[in-house]
Amino acid sequence: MEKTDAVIIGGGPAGSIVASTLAKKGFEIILLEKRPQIGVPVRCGEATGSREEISRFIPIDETWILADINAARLIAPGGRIVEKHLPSVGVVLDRSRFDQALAGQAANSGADVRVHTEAVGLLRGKNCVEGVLARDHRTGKTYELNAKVTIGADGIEGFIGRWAGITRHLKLSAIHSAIQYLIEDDGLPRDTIELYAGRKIAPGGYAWVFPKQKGFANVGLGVDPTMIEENTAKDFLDRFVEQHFPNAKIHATVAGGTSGTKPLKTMVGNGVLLVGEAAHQNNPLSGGGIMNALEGAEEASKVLTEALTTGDVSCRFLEQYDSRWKNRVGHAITKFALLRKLIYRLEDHELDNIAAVLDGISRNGEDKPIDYAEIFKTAVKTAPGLIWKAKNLLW
Amino acid sequence: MESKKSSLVTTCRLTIDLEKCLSCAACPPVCHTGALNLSSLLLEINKELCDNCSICIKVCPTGALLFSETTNFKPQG
Repeated sequence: MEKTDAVIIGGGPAGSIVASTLAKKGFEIILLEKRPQIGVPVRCGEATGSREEISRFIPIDETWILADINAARLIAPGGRIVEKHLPSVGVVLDRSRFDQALAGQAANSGADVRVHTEAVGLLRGKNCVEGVLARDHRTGKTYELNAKVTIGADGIEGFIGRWAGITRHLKLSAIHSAIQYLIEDDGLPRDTIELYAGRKIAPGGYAWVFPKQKGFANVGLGVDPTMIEENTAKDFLDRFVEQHFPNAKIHATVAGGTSGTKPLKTMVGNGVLLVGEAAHQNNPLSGGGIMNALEGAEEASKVLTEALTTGDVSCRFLEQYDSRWKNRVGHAITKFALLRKLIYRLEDHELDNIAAVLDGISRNGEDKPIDYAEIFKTAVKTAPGLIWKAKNLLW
Repeated sequence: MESKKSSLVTTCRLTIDLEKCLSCAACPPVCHTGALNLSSLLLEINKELCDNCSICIKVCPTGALLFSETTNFKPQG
Protein backbone atom coordinates (compact mmCIF):
# COMPACT_ATOMS: atom_id res chain seq x y z
CA MET A 1 0.00 0.00 0.00
CA GLU A 2 1.25 3.46 -0.90
CA LYS A 3 1.90 5.71 2.10
CA THR A 4 2.12 9.47 2.40
CA ASP A 5 1.84 12.20 5.01
CA ALA A 6 -1.21 13.89 3.55
CA VAL A 7 -3.56 13.17 0.69
CA ILE A 8 -5.49 16.15 -0.63
CA ILE A 9 -8.59 15.58 -2.74
CA GLY A 10 -9.28 18.35 -5.23
CA GLY A 11 -6.92 20.49 -7.29
CA GLY A 12 -8.72 23.81 -6.88
CA PRO A 13 -7.28 26.85 -5.06
CA ALA A 14 -7.84 25.44 -1.55
CA GLY A 15 -6.27 22.06 -2.28
CA SER A 16 -3.29 23.54 -4.10
CA ILE A 17 -2.49 26.04 -1.34
CA VAL A 18 -2.60 23.34 1.34
CA ALA A 19 -0.44 21.12 -0.90
CA SER A 20 2.21 23.76 -1.57
CA THR A 21 2.33 24.98 2.03
CA LEU A 22 2.76 21.48 3.49
CA ALA A 23 5.16 20.35 0.76
CA LYS A 24 7.35 23.39 1.45
CA LYS A 25 7.60 22.25 5.07
CA GLY A 26 9.02 18.96 3.82
CA PHE A 27 5.96 16.73 4.17
CA GLU A 28 5.09 14.11 1.57
CA ILE A 29 1.95 15.30 -0.19
CA ILE A 30 -0.23 13.70 -2.83
CA LEU A 31 -2.84 15.90 -4.51
CA LEU A 32 -5.63 14.13 -6.42
CA GLU A 33 -7.67 15.78 -9.17
CA LYS A 34 -10.41 13.72 -10.79
CA ARG A 35 -10.43 15.80 -13.96
CA PRO A 36 -7.97 15.18 -16.79
CA GLN A 37 -6.63 18.71 -16.38
CA ILE A 38 -6.38 21.15 -13.47
CA GLY A 39 -8.72 24.14 -13.77
CA VAL A 40 -10.93 22.69 -16.51
CA PRO A 41 -13.84 23.14 -16.76
CA VAL A 42 -14.26 26.49 -15.01
CA ARG A 43 -17.28 26.79 -12.74
CA CYS A 44 -16.87 30.32 -11.49
CA GLY A 45 -17.76 33.96 -12.09
CA GLU A 46 -13.99 34.62 -11.86
CA ALA A 47 -14.18 37.96 -10.07
CA THR A 48 -12.22 38.01 -6.84
CA GLY A 49 -10.13 40.05 -4.42
CA SER A 50 -7.36 42.53 -5.10
CA ARG A 51 -3.90 41.90 -6.55
CA GLU A 52 -2.49 42.63 -3.11
CA GLU A 53 -4.67 40.00 -1.44
CA ILE A 54 -3.92 37.35 -4.07
CA SER A 55 -0.18 38.04 -4.02
CA ARG A 56 -0.03 36.80 -0.43
CA PHE A 57 -0.64 33.32 -1.86
CA ILE A 58 1.03 33.35 -5.27
CA PRO A 59 3.11 35.90 -7.19
CA ILE A 60 0.86 37.84 -9.58
CA ASP A 61 1.15 36.74 -13.19
CA GLU A 62 -0.55 38.92 -15.81
CA THR A 63 -1.40 35.83 -17.89
CA TRP A 64 -4.18 34.92 -15.45
CA ILE A 65 -5.47 38.42 -14.78
CA LEU A 66 -8.00 39.44 -17.42
CA ALA A 67 -9.25 42.71 -15.95
CA ASP A 68 -8.89 45.00 -12.98
CA ILE A 69 -11.99 46.06 -11.10
CA ASN A 70 -12.09 49.71 -10.01
CA ALA A 71 -15.80 50.26 -9.54
CA ALA A 72 -19.06 48.48 -8.85
CA ARG A 73 -22.49 49.33 -10.15
CA LEU A 74 -25.60 48.08 -8.38
CA ILE A 75 -28.68 48.19 -10.58
CA ALA A 76 -31.98 48.17 -8.69
CA PRO A 77 -35.10 46.51 -10.11
CA GLY A 78 -36.58 49.90 -11.07
CA GLY A 79 -33.42 50.80 -12.97
CA ARG A 80 -31.70 53.11 -10.50
CA ILE A 81 -27.95 52.75 -10.76
CA VAL A 82 -25.81 53.08 -7.66
CA GLU A 83 -22.20 53.42 -8.63
CA LYS A 84 -19.29 53.13 -6.25
CA HIS A 85 -15.73 53.99 -7.12
CA LEU A 86 -13.53 51.29 -5.59
CA PRO A 87 -9.98 51.64 -6.85
CA SER A 88 -8.15 48.30 -7.25
CA VAL A 89 -10.80 46.47 -5.26
CA GLY A 90 -10.38 43.26 -7.23
CA VAL A 91 -9.59 41.47 -10.45
CA VAL A 92 -11.30 39.16 -12.91
CA LEU A 93 -9.32 35.98 -13.30
CA ASP A 94 -8.73 33.41 -15.95
CA ARG A 95 -9.64 30.67 -13.48
CA SER A 96 -8.19 27.84 -15.56
CA ARG A 97 -4.78 29.47 -15.69
CA PHE A 98 -5.02 30.64 -12.10
CA ASP A 99 -5.79 27.14 -10.83
CA GLN A 100 -3.03 25.72 -13.01
CA ALA A 101 -0.56 28.24 -11.61
CA LEU A 102 -1.53 27.31 -8.04
CA ALA A 103 -1.22 23.58 -8.75
CA GLY A 104 2.09 24.30 -10.47
CA GLN A 105 3.25 26.07 -7.35
CA ALA A 106 2.29 22.96 -5.35
CA ALA A 107 4.15 20.67 -7.74
CA ASN A 108 7.22 22.91 -7.68
CA SER A 109 7.13 22.80 -3.89
CA GLY A 110 7.37 19.01 -4.06
CA ALA A 111 3.74 17.84 -4.02
CA ASP A 112 2.85 14.86 -6.19
CA VAL A 113 -0.05 16.12 -8.32
CA ARG A 114 -2.10 13.34 -9.94
CA VAL A 115 -4.79 14.22 -12.46
CA HIS A 116 -7.39 11.72 -13.77
CA THR A 117 -7.50 10.40 -10.21
CA GLU A 118 -10.68 10.32 -8.16
CA ALA A 119 -11.14 9.42 -4.53
CA VAL A 120 -13.87 6.76 -4.53
CA GLY A 121 -13.90 5.91 -0.85
CA LEU A 122 -12.22 6.42 2.51
CA LEU A 123 -9.78 4.06 4.19
CA ARG A 124 -11.02 3.71 7.73
CA GLY A 125 -8.89 2.68 10.65
CA LYS A 126 -10.04 2.40 14.23
CA ASN A 127 -12.20 5.51 14.64
CA CYS A 128 -9.97 7.41 12.23
CA VAL A 129 -9.73 8.17 8.52
CA GLU A 130 -6.48 6.74 7.17
CA GLY A 131 -6.49 7.78 3.55
CA VAL A 132 -8.53 7.14 0.44
CA LEU A 133 -9.29 4.58 -2.17
CA ALA A 134 -8.12 6.22 -5.39
CA ARG A 135 -9.16 5.39 -8.93
CA ASP A 136 -6.95 6.23 -11.87
CA HIS A 137 -9.39 6.89 -14.71
CA ARG A 138 -6.71 6.33 -17.37
CA THR A 139 -5.88 2.79 -16.30
CA GLY A 140 -9.18 2.02 -14.58
CA LYS A 141 -7.18 0.75 -11.62
CA THR A 142 -8.17 1.39 -8.03
CA TYR A 143 -5.51 1.56 -5.34
CA GLU A 144 -5.22 2.32 -1.65
CA LEU A 145 -3.53 5.51 -0.59
CA ASN A 146 -2.66 5.50 3.09
CA ALA A 147 -2.22 8.95 4.63
CA LYS A 148 -1.71 10.31 8.12
CA VAL A 149 -4.26 12.97 7.29
CA THR A 150 -6.88 13.26 4.53
CA ILE A 151 -7.92 16.70 3.29
CA GLY A 152 -11.19 17.16 1.46
CA ALA A 153 -10.80 20.13 -0.89
CA ASP A 154 -13.26 18.54 -3.27
CA GLY A 155 -15.69 21.38 -3.69
CA ILE A 156 -19.41 21.64 -3.23
CA GLU A 157 -20.03 18.24 -4.83
CA GLY A 158 -17.33 16.56 -2.77
CA PHE A 159 -17.94 13.35 -0.89
CA ILE A 160 -15.02 13.31 1.56
CA GLY A 161 -17.01 15.31 4.14
CA ARG A 162 -20.11 13.17 3.68
CA TRP A 163 -18.22 9.89 3.90
CA ALA A 164 -16.42 11.11 7.02
CA GLY A 165 -19.71 12.14 8.63
CA ILE A 166 -18.72 15.82 8.81
CA THR A 167 -21.21 17.16 6.26
CA ARG A 168 -24.59 16.13 4.96
CA HIS A 169 -26.42 16.87 1.76
CA LEU A 170 -27.50 20.50 1.33
CA LYS A 171 -31.11 21.49 1.65
CA LEU A 172 -32.58 22.94 -1.51
CA SER A 173 -32.92 26.33 0.18
CA ALA A 174 -29.20 26.23 1.09
CA ILE A 175 -27.85 26.26 -2.45
CA HIS A 176 -27.82 28.75 -5.30
CA SER A 177 -28.38 27.39 -8.76
CA ALA A 178 -26.08 29.40 -11.01
CA ILE A 179 -25.32 29.75 -14.69
CA GLN A 180 -23.13 32.05 -16.74
CA TYR A 181 -22.36 32.86 -20.36
CA LEU A 182 -19.09 34.16 -21.70
CA ILE A 183 -20.36 36.84 -24.05
CA GLU A 184 -18.82 39.09 -26.65
CA ASP A 185 -20.44 42.48 -27.05
CA ASP A 186 -19.57 46.08 -27.90
CA GLY A 187 -21.49 47.64 -25.02
CA LEU A 188 -19.71 46.03 -22.09
CA PRO A 189 -18.36 47.99 -19.12
CA ARG A 190 -14.61 48.21 -18.58
CA ASP A 191 -13.05 47.83 -15.11
CA THR A 192 -16.52 48.03 -13.54
CA ILE A 193 -18.57 45.11 -12.33
CA GLU A 194 -22.35 45.26 -12.52
CA LEU A 195 -24.74 43.57 -10.13
CA TYR A 196 -28.47 43.44 -10.93
CA ALA A 197 -31.02 42.80 -8.21
CA GLY A 198 -34.68 41.93 -8.46
CA ARG A 199 -37.23 39.17 -8.23
CA LYS A 200 -37.88 39.20 -11.96
CA ILE A 201 -34.17 39.08 -12.78
CA ALA A 202 -32.88 36.48 -10.35
CA PRO A 203 -35.25 35.31 -7.59
CA GLY A 204 -33.27 34.73 -4.40
CA GLY A 205 -30.02 35.87 -5.99
CA TYR A 206 -28.58 38.41 -8.40
CA ALA A 207 -27.23 38.76 -11.90
CA TRP A 208 -23.66 39.87 -12.62
CA VAL A 209 -21.60 41.29 -15.43
CA PHE A 210 -17.89 40.77 -14.89
CA PRO A 211 -15.75 42.30 -17.64
CA LYS A 212 -12.84 40.24 -18.95
CA GLN A 213 -10.51 41.07 -21.80
CA LYS A 214 -11.80 43.89 -24.04
CA GLY A 215 -15.17 43.08 -25.57
CA PHE A 216 -15.80 40.03 -23.39
CA ALA A 217 -17.56 39.48 -20.08
CA ASN A 218 -18.94 36.78 -17.83
CA VAL A 219 -22.66 37.40 -17.59
CA GLY A 220 -24.43 35.14 -15.16
CA LEU A 221 -26.85 34.79 -12.33
CA GLY A 222 -27.67 32.67 -9.34
CA VAL A 223 -31.16 31.88 -8.10
CA ASP A 224 -32.67 30.26 -5.03
CA PRO A 225 -34.18 27.05 -6.43
CA THR A 226 -37.07 27.24 -3.97
CA MET A 227 -38.15 30.58 -5.49
CA ILE A 228 -38.25 29.83 -9.22
CA GLU A 229 -41.18 27.42 -9.61
CA GLU A 230 -40.99 25.64 -12.97
CA ASN A 231 -38.26 27.83 -14.41
CA THR A 232 -34.54 27.11 -14.50
CA ALA A 233 -31.64 29.45 -13.87
CA LYS A 234 -30.98 29.25 -17.61
CA ASP A 235 -34.46 30.60 -18.40
CA PHE A 236 -33.70 33.68 -16.29
CA LEU A 237 -30.25 34.17 -17.82
CA ASP A 238 -31.59 33.89 -21.35
CA ARG A 239 -34.16 36.56 -20.55
CA PHE A 240 -31.53 38.79 -18.91
CA VAL A 241 -29.11 38.56 -21.83
CA GLU A 242 -31.91 39.13 -24.32
CA GLN A 243 -32.88 42.32 -22.47
CA HIS A 244 -29.47 43.77 -21.73
CA PHE A 245 -27.20 42.38 -24.44
CA PRO A 246 -29.49 41.52 -27.34
CA ASN A 247 -26.65 41.51 -29.88
CA ALA A 248 -24.18 39.57 -27.78
CA LYS A 249 -22.45 36.51 -29.11
CA ILE A 250 -22.43 33.68 -26.56
CA HIS A 251 -19.15 31.79 -26.59
CA ALA A 252 -19.41 29.44 -23.65
CA THR A 253 -21.73 28.33 -20.87
CA VAL A 254 -20.72 27.39 -17.35
CA ALA A 255 -22.98 26.43 -14.49
CA GLY A 256 -22.80 25.21 -10.94
CA GLY A 257 -24.11 25.45 -7.43
CA THR A 258 -22.81 27.48 -4.51
CA SER A 259 -23.74 26.92 -0.92
CA GLY A 260 -25.62 29.68 0.88
CA THR A 261 -25.32 28.47 4.43
CA LYS A 262 -23.70 29.47 7.68
CA PRO A 263 -20.34 27.86 8.54
CA LEU A 264 -20.19 24.20 9.47
CA LYS A 265 -20.12 23.48 13.20
CA THR A 266 -16.93 21.56 12.58
CA MET A 267 -14.81 20.98 9.50
CA VAL A 268 -12.71 18.16 10.96
CA GLY A 269 -12.81 14.56 12.11
CA ASN A 270 -10.16 12.12 13.28
CA GLY A 271 -7.52 12.18 10.55
CA VAL A 272 -9.62 14.28 8.19
CA LEU A 273 -10.21 17.97 7.49
CA LEU A 274 -12.24 19.96 4.94
CA VAL A 275 -11.29 23.19 3.23
CA GLY A 276 -12.74 25.58 0.63
CA GLU A 277 -16.25 25.12 -0.65
CA ALA A 278 -16.20 21.50 0.56
CA ALA A 279 -16.29 23.15 4.00
CA HIS A 280 -18.89 25.76 2.92
CA GLN A 281 -16.30 28.52 3.25
CA ASN A 282 -17.66 30.63 0.42
CA ASN A 283 -19.66 33.79 1.01
CA PRO A 284 -23.32 32.70 1.20
CA LEU A 285 -24.58 36.11 0.06
CA SER A 286 -22.35 36.77 -2.95
CA GLY A 287 -21.39 33.20 -3.76
CA GLY A 288 -17.75 34.31 -3.94
CA GLY A 289 -15.32 31.73 -2.68
CA ILE A 290 -11.82 32.10 -4.07
CA MET A 291 -10.30 34.37 -1.42
CA ASN A 292 -12.13 32.52 1.34
CA ALA A 293 -10.75 29.23 0.04
CA LEU A 294 -7.22 30.64 0.04
CA GLU A 295 -7.62 31.95 3.58
CA GLY A 296 -9.21 28.69 4.72
CA ALA A 297 -6.30 26.81 3.19
CA GLU A 298 -3.85 29.04 5.01
CA GLU A 299 -5.49 28.36 8.38
CA ALA A 300 -5.79 24.63 7.63
CA SER A 301 -2.10 24.48 6.67
CA LYS A 302 -1.00 26.03 9.96
CA VAL A 303 -2.89 23.44 12.01
CA LEU A 304 -1.94 20.56 9.69
CA THR A 305 1.75 21.46 9.92
CA GLU A 306 1.58 21.18 13.67
CA ALA A 307 -0.53 18.01 13.53
CA LEU A 308 1.91 16.27 11.20
CA THR A 309 4.92 17.46 13.20
CA THR A 310 3.55 16.20 16.50
CA GLY A 311 1.77 13.19 14.98
CA ASP A 312 -1.53 14.21 16.56
CA VAL A 313 -4.19 14.18 13.84
CA SER A 314 -7.08 13.65 16.24
CA CYS A 315 -10.32 15.51 15.85
CA ARG A 316 -9.61 17.27 19.14
CA PHE A 317 -6.31 18.66 17.87
CA LEU A 318 -7.59 19.57 14.41
CA GLU A 319 -10.48 21.52 15.97
CA GLN A 320 -8.12 24.46 16.39
CA TYR A 321 -8.71 24.99 12.70
CA ASP A 322 -12.45 25.47 13.38
CA SER A 323 -11.86 28.27 15.86
CA ARG A 324 -9.14 29.89 13.75
CA TRP A 325 -11.47 29.94 10.77
CA LYS A 326 -14.42 31.24 12.77
CA ASN A 327 -12.38 34.12 14.13
CA ARG A 328 -10.90 35.03 10.77
CA VAL A 329 -13.89 34.66 8.40
CA GLY A 330 -16.53 32.35 9.85
CA HIS A 331 -18.27 34.92 12.02
CA ALA A 332 -18.68 37.19 9.02
CA ILE A 333 -20.11 34.28 7.04
CA THR A 334 -22.73 33.71 9.72
CA LYS A 335 -23.87 37.31 9.24
CA PHE A 336 -23.84 37.00 5.45
CA ALA A 337 -25.97 33.86 5.71
CA LEU A 338 -28.58 35.80 7.69
CA LEU A 339 -28.41 38.72 5.29
CA ARG A 340 -28.93 36.32 2.41
CA LYS A 341 -32.20 35.21 3.93
CA LEU A 342 -33.31 38.79 4.35
CA ILE A 343 -32.07 40.61 1.26
CA TYR A 344 -33.04 37.97 -1.27
CA ARG A 345 -36.58 37.89 0.04
CA LEU A 346 -37.16 41.60 -0.40
CA GLU A 347 -39.80 42.76 -2.83
CA ASP A 348 -38.62 44.80 -5.78
CA HIS A 349 -40.03 48.07 -4.41
CA GLU A 350 -38.17 47.49 -1.14
CA LEU A 351 -34.94 47.00 -3.06
CA ASP A 352 -35.66 50.20 -4.96
CA ASN A 353 -36.04 52.07 -1.67
CA ILE A 354 -32.73 50.74 -0.43
CA ALA A 355 -31.05 51.64 -3.71
CA ALA A 356 -32.30 55.21 -3.33
CA VAL A 357 -30.71 55.51 0.10
CA LEU A 358 -27.53 53.79 -1.01
CA ASP A 359 -27.31 56.18 -3.91
CA GLY A 360 -27.26 59.00 -1.37
CA ILE A 361 -24.57 57.29 0.67
CA SER A 362 -22.36 56.64 -2.35
CA ARG A 363 -22.66 60.23 -3.58
CA ASN A 364 -21.73 61.67 -0.21
CA GLY A 365 -19.50 58.99 1.18
CA GLU A 366 -15.85 58.21 0.84
CA ASP A 367 -14.52 55.37 -1.30
CA LYS A 368 -15.14 52.56 1.08
CA PRO A 369 -15.90 48.95 0.19
CA ILE A 370 -19.58 48.00 0.15
CA ASP A 371 -20.68 47.29 3.69
CA TYR A 372 -23.54 44.79 3.78
CA ALA A 373 -24.32 45.60 7.40
CA GLU A 374 -24.85 49.19 6.28
CA ILE A 375 -27.21 47.99 3.57
CA PHE A 376 -29.10 46.01 6.16
CA LYS A 377 -29.43 48.99 8.50
CA THR A 378 -30.57 51.12 5.61
CA ALA A 379 -33.06 48.47 4.58
CA VAL A 380 -34.65 48.39 7.98
CA LYS A 381 -34.67 52.18 8.24
CA THR A 382 -36.27 52.80 4.85
CA ALA A 383 -38.83 50.04 4.92
CA PRO A 384 -40.24 49.49 8.41
CA GLY A 385 -42.04 46.34 7.22
CA LEU A 386 -38.63 44.79 6.88
CA ILE A 387 -38.23 44.72 10.63
CA TRP A 388 -40.96 42.10 10.73
CA LYS A 389 -39.32 40.11 8.01
CA ALA A 390 -36.02 40.35 9.81
CA LYS A 391 -37.60 39.42 13.11
CA ASN A 392 -39.17 36.30 11.65
CA LEU A 393 -35.96 35.23 10.02
CA LEU A 394 -33.42 36.08 12.64
CA TRP A 395 -35.13 35.37 15.93
CA MET B 1 -41.17 3.08 -24.04
CA GLU B 2 -37.62 2.45 -22.97
CA SER B 3 -38.33 -0.65 -20.91
CA LYS B 4 -40.88 -3.41 -21.13
CA LYS B 5 -40.10 -4.66 -17.64
CA SER B 6 -42.96 -4.49 -15.17
CA SER B 7 -42.08 -4.40 -11.49
CA LEU B 8 -43.48 -3.62 -8.10
CA VAL B 9 -40.15 -2.29 -6.88
CA THR B 10 -39.62 1.48 -6.98
CA THR B 11 -37.30 2.07 -9.87
CA CYS B 12 -35.29 5.19 -10.50
CA ARG B 13 -37.01 7.26 -13.13
CA LEU B 14 -34.42 10.01 -13.18
CA THR B 15 -32.72 10.59 -16.49
CA ILE B 16 -30.12 13.04 -17.75
CA ASP B 17 -30.66 15.02 -20.92
CA LEU B 18 -27.10 14.83 -22.17
CA GLU B 19 -27.71 17.68 -24.61
CA LYS B 20 -28.40 20.00 -21.68
CA CYS B 21 -26.26 18.60 -18.85
CA LEU B 22 -23.05 20.58 -18.34
CA SER B 23 -21.77 18.22 -15.63
CA CYS B 24 -21.74 21.33 -13.48
CA ALA B 25 -22.16 19.66 -10.08
CA ALA B 26 -25.10 21.70 -8.80
CA CYS B 27 -27.12 18.53 -8.18
CA PRO B 28 -24.86 16.11 -6.23
CA PRO B 29 -24.78 18.32 -3.09
CA VAL B 30 -28.57 18.28 -2.69
CA CYS B 31 -28.99 14.55 -3.31
CA HIS B 32 -29.78 13.06 0.08
CA THR B 33 -29.03 9.48 -0.97
CA GLY B 34 -25.72 10.24 -2.65
CA ALA B 35 -27.06 8.84 -5.93
CA LEU B 36 -25.58 11.63 -8.04
CA ASN B 37 -21.85 11.80 -8.56
CA LEU B 38 -19.77 13.94 -10.82
CA SER B 39 -17.07 11.49 -11.78
CA SER B 40 -14.02 12.28 -13.88
CA LEU B 41 -15.95 13.83 -16.73
CA LEU B 42 -19.67 13.23 -16.52
CA LEU B 43 -22.57 13.24 -14.12
CA GLU B 44 -23.58 9.71 -13.13
CA ILE B 45 -26.77 8.43 -11.50
CA ASN B 46 -26.54 5.46 -9.18
CA LYS B 47 -29.95 4.01 -9.93
CA GLU B 48 -29.76 1.73 -6.91
CA LEU B 49 -29.66 4.73 -4.57
CA CYS B 50 -32.03 7.19 -6.28
CA ASP B 51 -35.46 7.39 -4.63
CA ASN B 52 -37.07 9.78 -7.12
CA CYS B 53 -37.25 12.63 -4.61
CA SER B 54 -36.89 15.19 -7.46
CA ILE B 55 -34.82 17.74 -5.51
CA CYS B 56 -32.05 17.55 -8.11
CA ILE B 57 -34.51 18.45 -10.85
CA LYS B 58 -35.29 21.71 -9.04
CA VAL B 59 -31.66 22.71 -8.58
CA CYS B 60 -30.44 21.95 -12.10
CA PRO B 61 -29.51 25.29 -13.75
CA THR B 62 -30.22 24.02 -17.27
CA GLY B 63 -33.20 21.73 -16.83
CA ALA B 64 -31.14 18.68 -17.77
CA LEU B 65 -32.63 16.34 -15.18
CA LEU B 66 -36.09 14.89 -15.70
CA PHE B 67 -38.23 11.92 -14.94
CA SER B 68 -38.83 9.40 -17.66
CA GLU B 69 -42.33 7.95 -18.00
CA THR B 70 -42.93 5.34 -15.37
CA THR B 71 -42.98 1.81 -16.70
CA ASN B 72 -44.61 0.23 -13.69
CA PHE B 73 -47.90 -1.57 -14.23
CA LYS B 74 -48.02 -0.70 -17.91
CA PRO B 75 -49.81 -3.46 -19.80
CA GLN B 76 -47.43 -5.10 -22.21
CA GLY B 77 -47.89 -5.58 -25.92
